[in-house]
Amino acid sequence: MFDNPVFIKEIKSKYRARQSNLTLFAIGSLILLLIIWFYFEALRYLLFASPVITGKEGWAWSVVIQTMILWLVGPALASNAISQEREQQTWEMLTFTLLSPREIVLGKLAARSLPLLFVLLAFFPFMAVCLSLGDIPFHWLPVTYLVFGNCSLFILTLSLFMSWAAGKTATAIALSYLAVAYLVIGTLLIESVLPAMARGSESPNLWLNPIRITMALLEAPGNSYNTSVLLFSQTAFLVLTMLMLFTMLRRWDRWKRD
Amino acid sequence: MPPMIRIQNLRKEYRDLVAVKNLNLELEPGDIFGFIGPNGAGKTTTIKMLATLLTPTYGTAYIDGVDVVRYPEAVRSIVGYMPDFFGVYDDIKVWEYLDFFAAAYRIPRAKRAQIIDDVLTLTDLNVKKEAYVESLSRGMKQRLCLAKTLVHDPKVLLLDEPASGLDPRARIEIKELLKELRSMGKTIIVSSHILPELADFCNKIGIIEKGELIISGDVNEIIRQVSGHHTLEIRILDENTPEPSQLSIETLASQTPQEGGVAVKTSAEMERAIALLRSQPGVDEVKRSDGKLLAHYVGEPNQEWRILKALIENDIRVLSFGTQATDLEDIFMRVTKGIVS
Repeated sequence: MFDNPVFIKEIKSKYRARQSNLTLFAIGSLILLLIIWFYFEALRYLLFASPVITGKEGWAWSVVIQTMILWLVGPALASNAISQEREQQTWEMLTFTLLSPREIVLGKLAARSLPLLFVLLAFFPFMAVCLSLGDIPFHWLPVTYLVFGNCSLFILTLSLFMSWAAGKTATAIALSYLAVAYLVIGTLLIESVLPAMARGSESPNLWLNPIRITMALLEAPGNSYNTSVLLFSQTAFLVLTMLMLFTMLRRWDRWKRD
Repeated sequence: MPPMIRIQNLRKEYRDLVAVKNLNLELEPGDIFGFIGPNGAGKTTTIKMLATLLTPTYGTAYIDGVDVVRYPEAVRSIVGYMPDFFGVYDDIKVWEYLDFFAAAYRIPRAKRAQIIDDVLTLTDLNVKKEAYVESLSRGMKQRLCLAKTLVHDPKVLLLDEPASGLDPRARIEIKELLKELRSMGKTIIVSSHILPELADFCNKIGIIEKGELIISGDVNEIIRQVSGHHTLEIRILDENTPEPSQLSIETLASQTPQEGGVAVKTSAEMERAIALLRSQPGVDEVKRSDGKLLAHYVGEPNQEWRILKALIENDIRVLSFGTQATDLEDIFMRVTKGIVS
């Protein structure tokens, strides 16, 4: 990936700060201080209250916060990845190079996933502390991060797909957030009119809901039903991700016929 | 020698619109082909098909023997393409921009630095190497785009309106750069609707209108073919003109009779010259313009000397006698008005 020119170019153009060293130092220090403060307060609470209860609480809070960040920030990160190239008229020159569609898509996807990766990494030590204090099985840490990773990949690919399919960035952003809104609200609405609801059980439609997935993550250890919810949702997201990637790469040249 | 570019029955249709109609063309290595046509004539569509960015509805083209439809990747490695409208990545540095494209053309990392320096020197952008792209002027960005087109040392350059939207200085700079590329032996297709831009350095031209290549070939051949006739430009010494010993460009210019609304004083000698010219075989029209006589000659080629001889034998004091140059603009106007088609 570090040899992928698109990945390198994206990092340089998206994440390189152009401010003076002094300003950068000030901003960096501020972010660091915020993280330290968060950790200080959180650990003080965890260590001096009842550790088992607060460990679980801390774990739950961090899962909820990370889930919210993934689903709310994710679409904004990648939904301009391709449409912006078209808007700023660099697309033609990019596709004229010897770069394969795979390199372009994966380069952009990897570069756009970095902020989410940063968020997950920033929470990791806190999650680890919560895990050690709370009554949570150890294997649940990698499982939770696998779910986060899979959801992130799905959201970013979805946004990238919208950016590829839509002509304009504004449309791509709107479509990406509409898709997220469907998963959060639409699945609930559909569930309310499905016969399964009347029977008092859930349909697989609801298992794609990010809120339901988060609940499953928090309740799952030892609960086979919630494990099924997670398995189903993550498999569905993975299949959808692959389908979108496959469609993009397969129909990459569709604009040639325009 | 096989042609560097061979286009065979190239056609592009968009539903009911035929953008390019069965275009045929052959260019030899080192040819500089000026693709002329009004906006919407099909120049860009043709160039995009050659650049593998559009799939032809019918027909194909070969660049250095490689089929653009079947082997687009192979074509891209030997072609440099500069679109008519393009953007640049504003938020990276000039050298990073070129490094990105060099990497995208699979140039090994070890060779990139030297190549970047070379193309920056060629495009005269060395001093901007460390500058951010957004800080460049429009003309510099145009040159930067040309520089990125050259990073993989392509044999063929497809330049779509390379000087459009530039100020006169930047236009001249681009023109000089293209001359430099010509001297490097590149085969270039350059489109423009600004004809003087192409006149200087193209050895071949093609005029396209409504998707149809009306005429193409060697510039001089086309001028001969299209002109068929030409205008003789004759300056004579009339009675208002000072004696030859007193002549200078300034005095000649000051003696030029005014035209365009102001009465023109015509000397007897001038009248005689006009009458004599009108009586000459091959001359179908004579008029005055800026103190000169313009005789439209439709006679036998290379027989214009007889007219000069007749003038001198009739004691007309001829100061200069020559053929008025026919330029691309003239050709374009004649061809696209349907004179040839």
